[in-house]
Amino acid sequence: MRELEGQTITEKKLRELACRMAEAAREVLGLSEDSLKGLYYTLYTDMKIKQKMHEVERQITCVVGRDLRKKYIFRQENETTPLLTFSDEGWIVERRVLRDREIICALIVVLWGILQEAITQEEEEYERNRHTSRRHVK
Amino acid sequence: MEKQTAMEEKLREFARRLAEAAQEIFELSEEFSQDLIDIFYKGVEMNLKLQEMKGQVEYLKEGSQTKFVLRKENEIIPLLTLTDEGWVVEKRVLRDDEVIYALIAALWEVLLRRKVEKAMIREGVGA
Repeated sequence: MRELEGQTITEKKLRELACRMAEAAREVLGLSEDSLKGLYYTLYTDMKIKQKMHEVERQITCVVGRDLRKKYIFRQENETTPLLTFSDEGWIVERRVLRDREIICALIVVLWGILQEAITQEEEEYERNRHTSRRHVK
Repeated sequence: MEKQTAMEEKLREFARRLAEAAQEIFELSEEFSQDLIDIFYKGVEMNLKLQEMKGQVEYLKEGSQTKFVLRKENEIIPLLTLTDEGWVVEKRVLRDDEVIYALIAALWEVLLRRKVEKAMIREGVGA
């Protein structure tokens, strides 16, 4: 019962956040009034999926194998499923058949994480280069 | 270049507003304010790229085959195919960011379609 109450509160908060996001999009990005309702529903559904992804994230582990290669693993009850492994060719998709929603969510989480890591690395490199070139100017 | 900076400024302002709203609604501490803005900004930036890719990702239903493909100028890259066992990722190796974004867009679409189908069944639409 308490869990259900908590769920309803979170749902309400998510709806409010989606509403505020749509409002901010209209004011800051200049979106039209017409597209607002559609945007609200998209944002709300997106957040619901993200909420599920957040739950799934806890079941994902990144391990480094004996060959020093990064591997992402998904743990479900008594089962361990490898998702992606890094190789010289790129990221190898270990689990290519996606049977349920959880595994689809898990794969999105891992792929999203890889992109985020790449962006962070790029930003760090950019900052480093900026500092180096500044030193040269002096 | 100027246009890009103006857009970047708008996105930062948008991220700031989102962080403010999240802080208020979820009663988050002020000390995480800047982190939250950075997270939202990165999220918005990545979502824009994802939206861009969504335009190139197509859902195809040909006869008994259902699939998602990435359509590029002179190339069609298969991403996902529906089989009796579930959705199959067509690419074994993911070499560039573009394909990763496209795959996320296709997987996201699978989840969205499922959600919509479920809601329609629940509400008796199309029954």
